[in-house]
Amino acid sequence: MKNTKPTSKLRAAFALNTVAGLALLPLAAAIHAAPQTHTVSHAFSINDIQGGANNATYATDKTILCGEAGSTVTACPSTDVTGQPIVDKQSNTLYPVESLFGFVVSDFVGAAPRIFDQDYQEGFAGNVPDTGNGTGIAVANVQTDVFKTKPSYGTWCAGLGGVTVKCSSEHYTVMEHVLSCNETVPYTTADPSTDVQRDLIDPDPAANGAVLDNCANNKLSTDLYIVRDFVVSDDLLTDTSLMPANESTVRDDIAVGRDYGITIKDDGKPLYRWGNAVKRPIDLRLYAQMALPQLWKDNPSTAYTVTAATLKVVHSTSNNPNDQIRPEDMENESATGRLPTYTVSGANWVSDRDCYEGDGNFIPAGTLFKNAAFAQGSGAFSSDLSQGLTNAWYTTTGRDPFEAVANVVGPRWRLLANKYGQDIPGLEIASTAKECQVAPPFVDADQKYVVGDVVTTTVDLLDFDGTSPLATSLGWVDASQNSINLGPGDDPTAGNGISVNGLPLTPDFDLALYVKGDKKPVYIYSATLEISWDDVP
Amino acid sequence: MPRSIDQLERRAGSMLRTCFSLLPLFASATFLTACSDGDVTLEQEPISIETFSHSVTHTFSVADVQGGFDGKTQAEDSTIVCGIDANAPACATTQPIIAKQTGETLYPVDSEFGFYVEDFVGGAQKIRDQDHAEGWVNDIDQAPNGKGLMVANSKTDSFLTPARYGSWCTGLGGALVKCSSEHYTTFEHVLTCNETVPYTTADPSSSVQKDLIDPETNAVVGNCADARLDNDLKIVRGGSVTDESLTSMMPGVQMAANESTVRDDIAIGKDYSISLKDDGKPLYRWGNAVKRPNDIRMYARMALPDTWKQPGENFIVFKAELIVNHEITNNPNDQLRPEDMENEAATGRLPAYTVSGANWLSDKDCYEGDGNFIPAGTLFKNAAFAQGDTAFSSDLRLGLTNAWYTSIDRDPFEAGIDVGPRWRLGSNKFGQDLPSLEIPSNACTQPPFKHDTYKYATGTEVTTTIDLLDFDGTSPLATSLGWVDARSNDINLGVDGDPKAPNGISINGLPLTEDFDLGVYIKGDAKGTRIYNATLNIEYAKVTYGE
Repeated sequence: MKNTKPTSKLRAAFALNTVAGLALLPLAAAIHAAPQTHTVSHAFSINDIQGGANNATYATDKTILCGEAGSTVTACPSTDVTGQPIVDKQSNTLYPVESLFGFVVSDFVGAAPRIFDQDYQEGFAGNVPDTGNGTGIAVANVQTDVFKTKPSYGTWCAGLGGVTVKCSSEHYTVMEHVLSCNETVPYTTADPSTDVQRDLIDPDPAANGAVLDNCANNKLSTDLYIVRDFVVSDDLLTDTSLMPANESTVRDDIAVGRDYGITIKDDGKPLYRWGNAVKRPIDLRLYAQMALPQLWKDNPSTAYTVTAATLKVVHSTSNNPNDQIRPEDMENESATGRLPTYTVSGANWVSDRDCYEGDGNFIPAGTLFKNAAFAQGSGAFSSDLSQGLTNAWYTTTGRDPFEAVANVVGPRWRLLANKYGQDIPGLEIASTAKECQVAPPFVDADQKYVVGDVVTTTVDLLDFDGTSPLATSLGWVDASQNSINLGPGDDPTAGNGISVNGLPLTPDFDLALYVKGDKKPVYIYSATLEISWDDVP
Repeated sequence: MPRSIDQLERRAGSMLRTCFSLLPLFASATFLTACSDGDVTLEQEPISIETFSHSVTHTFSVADVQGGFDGKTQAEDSTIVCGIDANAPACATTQPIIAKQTGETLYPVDSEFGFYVEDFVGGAQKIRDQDHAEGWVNDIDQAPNGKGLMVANSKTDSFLTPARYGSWCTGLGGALVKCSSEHYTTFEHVLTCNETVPYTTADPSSSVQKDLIDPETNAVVGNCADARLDNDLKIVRGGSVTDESLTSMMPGVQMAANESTVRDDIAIGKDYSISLKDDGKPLYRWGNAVKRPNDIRMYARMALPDTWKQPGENFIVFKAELIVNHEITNNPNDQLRPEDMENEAATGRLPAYTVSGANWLSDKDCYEGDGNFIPAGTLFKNAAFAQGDTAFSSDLRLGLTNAWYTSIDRDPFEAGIDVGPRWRLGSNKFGQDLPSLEIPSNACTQPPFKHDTYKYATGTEVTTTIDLLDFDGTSPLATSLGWVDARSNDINLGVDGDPKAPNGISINGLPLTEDFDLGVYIKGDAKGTRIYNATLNIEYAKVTYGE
């Protein structure tokens, strides 16, 4: 059976309701008006840049950029090159930004949010003229801050010359594949239905294949002890809910063991880490308010059903997959893009074609993506262990996070980038012709997306695991009806106002774009919201 | 050729006096220059000096490709490269490839110059297993350099190790960064903010370290001294950590030189491990993987003057350069090995400094490879913190700081003051403690660098000229005997590692003959690189002394 996993329980329910409701069609037709559509566009400009002391936009706070013609800060105060305007290759001038959306860092301690210091060191932004895509904005980030940590406290590994590689994952099986040859969820062993691990052989040909060891003897130590005020306590981490969410400090709210550490993300997922440094990027954030149907706003307690909703963003292809599109300040793990395809064999998932993992390992058709016998259930720290998902599932290059699957799922809620991201963070996406045909890394000619090319990213705003808050008008016009966006104090029931992330939440459509890690400018031109809805509740 | 300041000072008195008083009567201008530079040693007052020059060129081809430690090349053993002609075996497990950009067909090589690897165990030298999986080669002929050889390496093998046993760190997606250095101060800078040889602290003349600051409150919450590395390393034997602490860097005392296994001959501590290199230097390592490349090695035999080969003759060599035409490679690891010699004294241009008492101070604003700004006056050498002969590595012995090793005010492929470039094919990257950073066209600009600011572009035709007389001390190549007789050259080693072994096959499989024997190693160039020819230019003198 091919994977045709519905991404939205709402859609599944919708389909069932459609079938069940056929008998009522004559009556329904009598009371239904024609389906409505609503389309609204926004052209980005420097007026959308958030910053300053209160996360306002440049439209209302003319101190956010310095040196720009409309700014009240006519001369940029910093003599540092990162505090003076820059000019891109198209001769657009980008002006330094002052904002709070970054961190100050301290080795072996952690990171703290930036303060309003008017140093204009948080990035650059400038308007760009219409060259065929409409007018827009160019944004460029400053260098991402890094602080050192003890081994296994960090999310990046630091090597010589300031070079770092990502050393953290939400998935145990992925981390284990990097650090050990033991497979907690087996998929490359001689018999993955058992927990017998691979023997380690003397590589000397003269040894005639003598067995020296076994991967089971090199499994990771999973005993993790909670750190409090720099001190590793005797308290064993038994439940991830025992620690508050933390992405900044290595002084508290982290547990460490012999081989790796763990912190908890905002969404409750663990972050396994085996590095010796932490990166804290300085975001540039854009806010666009786009009008919603007047009927929705006039009847803020009425649930108008949204049957389709897409957001099209015209922009240049980014060099990293971390630039978020946040409709109504929402994140969405269910918008996955195209996932690996597989066949179901009993409780297992089995790959349906030859392919390669991101590190170049060949995985033939028939490789286990899910080895259900090794699922640990709800007591496990992470979803891979609870479900028995293998490293192959997370790292096969037979995927495209920026490609939609018709009637199944849209792309990730990110600006389209040239790299896979997630558990294959630094690898460029293979072209359609070469996907699973050649081993990575891919030469330029075998890559699918080119950094800088202007593209349209179309995200499906109804992608959701469960019933989307955007399935009715309520979740759009009233933040108290949208439990995904959070008010001050992380309150999911807070009403309209300012979100925990500093985004205005209004009766209109509130869109945030985060740009991070793009030292070369990214060009963002426009966003177009298209909604289909029923005007009878 | 003496290179250190101390050596020059020691030798200047006696030698220069001899040169200046007597030689103008019968020596050439070049000889006089070499003499006044201290590059020539005269035993006593000469009665005559006759100077000569010699030049010979070798064009590289598939015939030069070596297959193993028996010294043979494809010219003598047609099974090394498969599929290339009627004499070669058909290719089986590995097939020819087509060069991506230029379309050449490259043929697979079978050699012993690689390793079989196993996770958590190590690497073992390959044998001639006829899999032809060690790389690809073919002859080329293209303007402007004409005939030559194209080489593409196969993928470098790597194996996993326990944490801190490895020389590379592995991240997601197969990404690797170099996590090893010969210098304690360099790797300490990566792993902690403590400075064993201070240079960025408030007062580097003291051992007081920086405070750790809470970034939110600015309160002092600790000190970098609290984060200093644990230097107690225990020796590993048979895969087990013993109670024996590492105290000696001398190979064979506690540990043998080792670049392959993680079960023996490695010492491990809480923060890092150490293995010993062939030359007795430590390799500090904090990674979890080891890379073992597959080299493609070439051997070129180039004729030396017949007079050098006459019994009893020994000429003074006062100029010797090797000029190699090739493409800029993508890594700085492709070795040129004249007479199978390595040479740490051929450094290229090093950072410039002024001497202040016993210290060295940088003479200009610059950056370290990781982007840290180091203003003029930064300590390159902080002699008060030199630990002397008992220290494990040269940086600690001499008090050399991380800034000395990682300042980008250097170019290993450019001749410096009284020293030639490294004995490597010219590359676009610094190498050593800045392994993956490209060399900028404008020195001391802030890294990382964009393509249009690189000094050297991979694939560009270039001429690398190395000085074969660069040496720390008296070079074995300073007289003709060191060229024609391996017994007179204690840098190259015989099969059993004997520095006094006669001509034959070296420990690295290079023939050592009475002619000039050149080894070229190419490694890590998966996309392929081209090497065309090498020219040896020698100027030498016959010196006759009185009775």
